[in-house]
Amino acid sequence: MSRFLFVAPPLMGHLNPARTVAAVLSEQGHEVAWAGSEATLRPLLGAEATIYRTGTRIHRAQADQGLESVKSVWERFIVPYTRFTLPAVQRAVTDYRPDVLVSDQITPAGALVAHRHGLPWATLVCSTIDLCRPYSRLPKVERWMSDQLARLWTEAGLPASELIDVRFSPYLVIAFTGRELTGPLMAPADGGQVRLVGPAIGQRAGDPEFPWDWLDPARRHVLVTMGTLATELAQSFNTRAVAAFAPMAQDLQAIVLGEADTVTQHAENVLMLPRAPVLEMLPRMDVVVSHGGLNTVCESLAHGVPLVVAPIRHDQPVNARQVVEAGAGVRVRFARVSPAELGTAVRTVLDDARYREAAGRIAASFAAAGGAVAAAESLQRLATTPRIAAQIPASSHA
Amino acid sequence: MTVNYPRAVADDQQSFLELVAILAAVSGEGSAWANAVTPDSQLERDLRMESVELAALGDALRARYGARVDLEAFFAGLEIEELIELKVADVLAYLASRQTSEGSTGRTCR
Repeated sequence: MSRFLFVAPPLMGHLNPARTVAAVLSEQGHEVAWAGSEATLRPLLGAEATIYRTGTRIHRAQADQGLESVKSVWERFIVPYTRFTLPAVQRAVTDYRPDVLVSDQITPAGALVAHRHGLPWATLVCSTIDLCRPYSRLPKVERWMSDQLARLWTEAGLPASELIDVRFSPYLVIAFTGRELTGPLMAPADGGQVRLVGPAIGQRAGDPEFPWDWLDPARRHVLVTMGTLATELAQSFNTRAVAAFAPMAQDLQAIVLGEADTVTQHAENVLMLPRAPVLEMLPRMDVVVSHGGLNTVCESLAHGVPLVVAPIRHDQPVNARQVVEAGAGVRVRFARVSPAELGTAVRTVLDDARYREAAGRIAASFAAAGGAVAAAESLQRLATTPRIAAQIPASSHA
Repeated sequence: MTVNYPRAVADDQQSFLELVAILAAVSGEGSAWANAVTPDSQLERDLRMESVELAALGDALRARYGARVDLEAFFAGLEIEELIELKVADVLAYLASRQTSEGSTGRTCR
C-alpha cells in the first residue's frame, strides 16, 4: 500500500486521464489524494476524495493562435498558477506525506515541492507540446521557456546547482499517447524513464443523452468536435462544416458539437448539439473532424476512427502532423479552410480505406500500451523500488 | 551556374506587392485579402498565417528569390516577441538583406 499525491490543473483534458489512473490505484488498494482546485475536482471525484485545496484562480483569456497563444499559456497560466499553488502543494506534502508525487507537466508546483522534499515524483504528460519539441528550430523560443522554468525554480528557493527541467521527472514520465503516433522522440522525451501508455480512457461522469435513433445506419457518420474554445473562429469553422456536409446528405450524417444558434442554416443531415457522449458515439463514427486536442485525437484513434484535423493552437499542430505522418488522417487549415476543401478532406478519409487501416493499427498499439493500468503499474513500481533518478540536464532544450 | 533571381528591395512598392502576392498564394486567399495587406500587417496576428502556411512561404520565397533566402534560419534567430510581432515589412527587409546589389553573384550582405 502506497500513498500518491496528484497535483493537477483545473482542466478537463488533464483531469480525465489523471483520475482514470488514480481510480486504478485506488482499486488496487492504494491511497490517493489531490492538490488542486476543489471547485473543479470535487464534482469529478466525489465527496469521499481527499483534496488539498489550492484555491481557484481566475485566469485571463489566452491568445487564440500561434506563438502568441504559447506565450500566453506560460504568462497567464503556467507561471502564475505555479506561484499561486506552491504554498498549498507544500502544505499538502507536509500533511499527507505521500510516497510518490504525481505532477501534471503544466503544473510544475508539484515537481518543485517534490524536489525540495527529495520525494520520488512522476510527470503526467496530457499534451504533446513539450514532449515533441515543436520549437526545436526556434532556439530562442525554447530558451525563453527554459528561462521561465528556471525563474520558478529560483523563486521556490531551490539551489541553482540542482536545476533540472521540471517538465520531465528524472524518475518517471507517463505520456498518454503512443509511439506509433508520435514517431521517434527527441531528448529529453526519449529517455528511459519515459513511458508512452496510450490514452487513459475511463468513465465520464455526467455525459449527456444522445438521440441514437437519429443515426441512419444506411449512411456514414462524421463527428465534428472543435473543443471548448468559444471564439468566433470556432463558430465560423462550424458554419463552414455545416455548409460542407449539407450537400452530402445522400450518404452522410454529421453531428456538430457547438452552440446551435451560431449556425442559422441547418440541413436535414446535420445535428448540432452543445455536448454529446463522445466516447459512446465513437464506435459508430466513420470519421472525426477535430481541432487536434490530444484527448480527442487519441480517443478517436483508440476506436480505430480516422481524423480530419484542423489545428488551432497549443499542441494541436503537433498532433495534426503526427496523425498525417501515421497515415490516420488528413490536415486542413483551421482559419481558412473552405467548405469545399473540408468536404473533400472528409470524403478522402471516408473513401480511402488506408486511413481507417492506419487508425486500426494505432488502436491496436494503444491497447497493447496498457493505458491507465500500465500507468498505475509504473507508479506503483516507483513507490516500492529503490529510487534512481535519470540524469536530465536543466538545459535539455538548449 | 548563374541564375538571375529577381531582387527584393525594402521599402519598394513593387517588391512589396510581389511579396503580398506570394503570401496570398500560400494562404489560398484572393485579391480582396491581398489588397488589405500592408507593410505593417503582422503575419501571425493580422494575416493569421498557420505553421503549415509559414513553411510553404519559406519554400515559395526560396523558389522565387534563390537559395540564400532561408526563412527558417531567419526565424531561428528571432526571440518569441519578435516572431509574434513579425510584419510583412520585416520579411521584405530580410529578403533585401539576403540578396546582393548585383543579382546572385554571391556577395554576402549580412
